Amino acid sequence: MTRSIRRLAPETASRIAAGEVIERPLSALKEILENALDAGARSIAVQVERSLDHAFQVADDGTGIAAGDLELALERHATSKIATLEDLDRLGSLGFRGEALPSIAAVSRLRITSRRREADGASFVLVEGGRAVERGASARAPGTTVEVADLFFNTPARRKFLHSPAGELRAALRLLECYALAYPEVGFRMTVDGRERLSWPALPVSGLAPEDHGGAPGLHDYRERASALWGARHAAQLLDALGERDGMRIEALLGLPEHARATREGQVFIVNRRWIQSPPLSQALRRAYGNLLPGGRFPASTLWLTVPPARLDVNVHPTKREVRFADESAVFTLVAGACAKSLAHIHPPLTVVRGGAATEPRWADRVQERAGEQPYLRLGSLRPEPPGLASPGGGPAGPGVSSPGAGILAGDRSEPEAAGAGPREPELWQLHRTYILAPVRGGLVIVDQHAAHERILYEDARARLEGARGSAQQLLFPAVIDLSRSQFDLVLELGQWLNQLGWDLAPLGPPSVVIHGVPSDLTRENPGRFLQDLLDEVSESTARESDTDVAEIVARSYACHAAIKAGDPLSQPEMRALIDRLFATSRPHGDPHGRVTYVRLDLDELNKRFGRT
Amino acid sequence: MELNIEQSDLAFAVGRALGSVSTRSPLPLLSCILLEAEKDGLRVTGTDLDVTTSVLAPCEVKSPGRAAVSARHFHDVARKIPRGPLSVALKDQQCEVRYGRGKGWSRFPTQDPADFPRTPELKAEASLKLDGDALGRLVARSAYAASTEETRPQLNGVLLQGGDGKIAFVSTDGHRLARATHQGTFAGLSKDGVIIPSRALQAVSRGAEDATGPVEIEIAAGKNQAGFAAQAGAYRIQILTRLLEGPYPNYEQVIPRSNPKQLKCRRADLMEAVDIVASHADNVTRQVRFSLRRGRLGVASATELGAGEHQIEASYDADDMEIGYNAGYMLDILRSIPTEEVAFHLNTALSAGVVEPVGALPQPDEELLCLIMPLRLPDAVG
Repeated sequence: MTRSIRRLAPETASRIAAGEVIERPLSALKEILENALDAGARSIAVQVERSLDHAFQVADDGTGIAAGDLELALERHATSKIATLEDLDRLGSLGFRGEALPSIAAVSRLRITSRRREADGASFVLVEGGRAVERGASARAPGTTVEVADLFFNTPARRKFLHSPAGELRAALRLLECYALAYPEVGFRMTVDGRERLSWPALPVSGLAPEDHGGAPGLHDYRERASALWGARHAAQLLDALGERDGMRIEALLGLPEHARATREGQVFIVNRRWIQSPPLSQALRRAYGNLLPGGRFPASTLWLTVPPARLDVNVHPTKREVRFADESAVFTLVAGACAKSLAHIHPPLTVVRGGAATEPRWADRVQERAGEQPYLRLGSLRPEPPGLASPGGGPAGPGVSSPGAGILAGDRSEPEAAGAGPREPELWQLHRTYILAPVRGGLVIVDQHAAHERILYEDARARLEGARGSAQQLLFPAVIDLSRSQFDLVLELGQWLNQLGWDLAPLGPPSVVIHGVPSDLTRENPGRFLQDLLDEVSESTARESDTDVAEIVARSYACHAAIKAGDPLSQPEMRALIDRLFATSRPHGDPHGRVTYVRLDLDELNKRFGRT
Repeated sequence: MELNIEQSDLAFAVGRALGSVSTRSPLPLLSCILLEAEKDGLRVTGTDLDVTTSVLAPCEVKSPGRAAVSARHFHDVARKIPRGPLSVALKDQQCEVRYGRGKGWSRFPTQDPADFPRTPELKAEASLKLDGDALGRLVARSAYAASTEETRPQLNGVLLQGGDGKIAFVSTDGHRLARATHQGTFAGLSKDGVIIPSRALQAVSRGAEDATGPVEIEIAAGKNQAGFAAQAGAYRIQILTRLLEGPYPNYEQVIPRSNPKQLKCRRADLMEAVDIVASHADNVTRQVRFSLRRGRLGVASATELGAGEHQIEASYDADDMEIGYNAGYMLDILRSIPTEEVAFHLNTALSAGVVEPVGALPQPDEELLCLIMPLRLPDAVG
């Protein structure tokens, strides 16, 4: 049977075309929401009845549509947003195709009621399956209400492939959340079956933004909005990031590494106030977190990017969920750079007492609620502590040196710690010789002893490699070790680095090296074996990674091998020293490989579990 | 098994045996002590398979027998029971203690004593005797320097070395070394010596304090065992240990014989200085800086915790020198020296320093020598 080619009936064609733009009920909501925002609305109310595909309406207080334009608005490719193709390069609105309303109208029963500010009254038009069935006058305050009912009633095949109504509703909430982040000056409200699901009041935009930024909102406003969305406590923990380059501008609120998620759900990218999905931005963000996060964890962050419209193609996807940057690598560098800069100053979240002082108080101060008096002067809390070197005044032994010989004849020697014991510090517990449990105000922190020590040693090692040469414990019996040829060459190559770390090595000639001194915090290890492990790791890493920052690799390998292992028993002073030093590092959240060093368990959480609320 | 014994005797024996019971053993029987009623008394034994302590206490044995009871539990009760005679008997697989002439009783479940590790027979190849006090001193002056690092097990103990008409106790962890000697003829002990684990010496030194007679040391180097036995009043204490396998490093060659720079100071002054200044020192490296000047010694430390310096008088007339030390090591050494003054023999800021008592020790037939390796200070050349 042969078929001849025929022109499709207009309504058939428009239903097919509508499927491109309105692929699911959520798309309809999105398009109408964007129209409201483009109309300069300051307040948007969404009402859903049962489900999005059943019926919803969006009411705004925007400019409105003139009575005479109402039906034109429903025609394909009719828009007020652009006039010529060139306008796309100056695009300031979310929409531009003039497709949304006709597409929705083609597959639903649609009613638009609108009144322009200067008009005396409102008018409405009711459309079913693309045909206007009723029009007339109505009453309404200035603005527009779009009601959509029975979506896809005339495309039964599409109806069958809809997501679950609950899922669509969740997606709708997220959609509103993202637009709320993009438009802090707009108030959003959403009710489902008469019950309020969210209500975010419009924020008076501070106008603190620099001149070239116009009256657009800035980080301050975004933070306010984030606080309305996610709660003040969470929002307060987000880090600001700001960057500008070649007319592009990035603002971001970055989640702490411990808030990272297993999916990209926590990431919101807003480009020119448009919520988009962008693998390159996601990668740039991940790059910025570097080794703060392990593989498979994604930072939870919101990015606002402003790009000159001429250097951004928003017309690459029917639903406009993706954009193309004219200079992707510049965007990547800008985003990664600005975020990394902010993360470099990451502040420990253990701000159970984040009051005034610029420095994180010492662990003991944090944990212990002292009654009024401060028993002794602690220099550590008076000025900022350089990262990685702080240690408590309490016990004499840190990890690595377990006051040697303490096990022997402990009875007949008075331990200095006993003599100088200050106020009793809180107890710490070692769990399965792997984790340290430490009470903090408002909860409990569980520290992975190996990861924590690795972080400490890593920062120590970095500091030494960058100049502050480490002290070396000289050995009574210099150890002669035999290396492989490549290890020996590596010793020669790394000579200066190793010396900075605190190694005192004398190459005898292949393959032997004499170890005269070892880094002074390395007293538990067999120096020869340790050196060989270190060299192997360095040579493996340098072979694997292309951008070879030798110091970084040396520091990482050193930390990894020198750190106490899971299974090593720790004494109270050792645990205390470990925790104090961990939280004195610049990034206590993760070890150098990005594994998490500690998790926090809130008392609130425990109370909830025990039904104590 | 049935016997009558004084509470103090039982408590002493059980307490000492408990010292060798391992705290966390996978073998439940190793958390037990073995009670054996023999014809000469009650023998109480505790072991962790490496070190075994056994105490023979006088008692009146009515019928011999054996029982294994939980060490901690039994000890807890035995030491709290009122003083006076008590009876211990095995009834229906339970060990029953009756005390205070019918005032009270306690019963303990028992384990099968047949499974209790057999105390090995020690076939001594060499034996020697040492006064209890002297043994205690030798241990105290040497054992602190032993290593706790697992990678070099031969350093986890003290080397007992004979020859040259004296016995030497030597220990080192590679950063410092201590050698304490006592004169006498100890024919059984070779120059190569044997290495006694630190843990065993801990029990030995406790036993030596109690000893009322000389401590007999028996060595079966071939079987890798050593035994220490002493009479402590009415009790006989025996400690059996496995030896650590050598070879012990040749420490003699690292003792510098001609270090040119001498420093002498009052020991108490130096201890005070180091102790105060080390409060500021880094927790891990415990680094303090010695600044040697003519006639004085400065001890200083500076970290972000704070900084401090302490000057003491010292006799020194060589060139100025800066040298770093681990304060913990330094204090260990100073504590072990019994004389009022100490002398340092130094060479460079990177080489081993000798620390010695000045003048004779309270016991003229004894000697003491310590070595300490410096910490290379970050600003040091080389």
